[in-house]
Amino acid sequence: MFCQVIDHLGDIGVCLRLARSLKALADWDLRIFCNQADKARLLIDPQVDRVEWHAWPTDEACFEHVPEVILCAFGCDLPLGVRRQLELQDKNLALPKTLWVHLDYLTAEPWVEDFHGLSSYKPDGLIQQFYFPGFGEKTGGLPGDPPALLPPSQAETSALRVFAYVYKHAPLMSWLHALSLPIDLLTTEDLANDWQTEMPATCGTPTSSEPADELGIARIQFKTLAPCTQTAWDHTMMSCELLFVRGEDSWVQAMRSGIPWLWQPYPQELETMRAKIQSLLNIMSEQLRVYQHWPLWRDAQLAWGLGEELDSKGFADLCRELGSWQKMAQAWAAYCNRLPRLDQGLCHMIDKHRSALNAYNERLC
Amino acid sequence: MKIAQEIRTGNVIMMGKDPMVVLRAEYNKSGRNAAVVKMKLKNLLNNSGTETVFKADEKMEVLVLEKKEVTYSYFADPMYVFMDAEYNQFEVEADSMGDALNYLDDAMPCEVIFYNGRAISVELPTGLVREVEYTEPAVRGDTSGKVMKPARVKPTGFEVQVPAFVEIGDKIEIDTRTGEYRNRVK
Repeated sequence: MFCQVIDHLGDIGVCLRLARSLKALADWDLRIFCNQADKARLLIDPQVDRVEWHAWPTDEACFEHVPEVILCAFGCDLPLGVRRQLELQDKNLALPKTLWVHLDYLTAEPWVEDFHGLSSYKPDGLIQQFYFPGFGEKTGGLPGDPPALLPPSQAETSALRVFAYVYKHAPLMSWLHALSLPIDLLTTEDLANDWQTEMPATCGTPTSSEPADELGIARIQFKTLAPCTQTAWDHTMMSCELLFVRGEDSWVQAMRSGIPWLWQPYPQELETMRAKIQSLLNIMSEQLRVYQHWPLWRDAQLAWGLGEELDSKGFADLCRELGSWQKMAQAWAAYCNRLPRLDQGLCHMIDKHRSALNAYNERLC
Repeated sequence: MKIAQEIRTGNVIMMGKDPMVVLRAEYNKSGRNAAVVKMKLKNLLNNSGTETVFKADEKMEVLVLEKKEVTYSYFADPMYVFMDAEYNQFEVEADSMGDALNYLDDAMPCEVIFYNGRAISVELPTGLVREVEYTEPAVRGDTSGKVMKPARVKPTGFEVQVPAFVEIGDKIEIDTRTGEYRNRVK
């Protein structure tokens, strides 16, 4: 599996989670090549992860034995040496062929059903299989796995426990302040620093002389997340009551959790983001339209995902009905956890390839 | 060389050793500013068709092919016959006509495209005017132009989505690349 990190560790997170479940399903000899392998190793929990991480190969490097399957996560390019090795292998009829897969990003847009599973014919004669995760039956399935849910916490305070892993431009402070209640905000150090600089007067430990409800704004207590394994990261997410998530890995885990969440897609042109959010909301509406407060969640998700400043009333109303929001989140999680899974879909495709390969090798013999 | 997202219907790209004409290209943005293009292609050597997908920034070789201005003459099953100004005739197989069949009309000007001296396809003007043969009357009160309805156009019976105000006998301009209505022509 090849993975090139673009900005943060979400890409590695998806790869690690996928590798873990592929190992569990099929116990293949699985190696991940990553341009930030040192960072990636921080996510590994030796108790549950039995995956080898390697640094990104140089352009001259090649495999001693070409793998049966090469998976390019998020459509990354192969190192030049490996690509040349595939070309040579392709030209030699006596050599087994490698299954070369382009794994794309998750989107709820309907077009992925028409793109999933198509072959891509390269000018040098190589063929790559395009694999699109998604929500529909004709897609490659949903990434991630149902998270282990924690028992209800014995809270030490009455503060709302909020998890935030968002892109920097997200207007989280103005959204949270609309809630007028104490909040424990679990977030990464860089985000916490930005927000505390941005609004020092409204962040920090509440004082008895200035109760949050009298100020009319939330009193936010920052709890910074130190770098940790993916297992610990998941554990922290699952201990919260409200999740602000981004990208793909944390989004999928939030959707599968049953905890109320709002998702921020990767920043792109406004219309591209709108199409991605609206497609998700269309599918969610099919499942959740019977719930009285679904329109509040739907509108909040659209506004939050597009980075809009708050129409605070709707979001405050939604949080006031947190129990109802949780029921909707649980219904959506149950739906997601019933969908075809990415790991199983990939396994099926790889098994088919290996069967064909065995038949081919037998014919050669 | 062009990148995949620059490829248009009618372009011919090399795939291995095979020249492939692009019958349709569909572009979509996936994630993190990445994009993909799905293409419906036809092999110019053996007429076999295939669907394939590319990353939008993948480079590909585009062939520049000879073109000749012609007019449509007649159909001699299974060939469509075109004629140039010197009365030379060129035959294009029905399977290679693609969406051009939706607009074909007697003496229609267009361009025939050649590969290795063989006429392989037809390229239409990007906009063509056609008369509406039939469409349902407009629903009273809606003149916004946002509500669309199907309309059958002469002479092929091709169906186009048109605004509600378009009526039988109207002449409309159609974008031949997309098959979409452009405007009403007075």
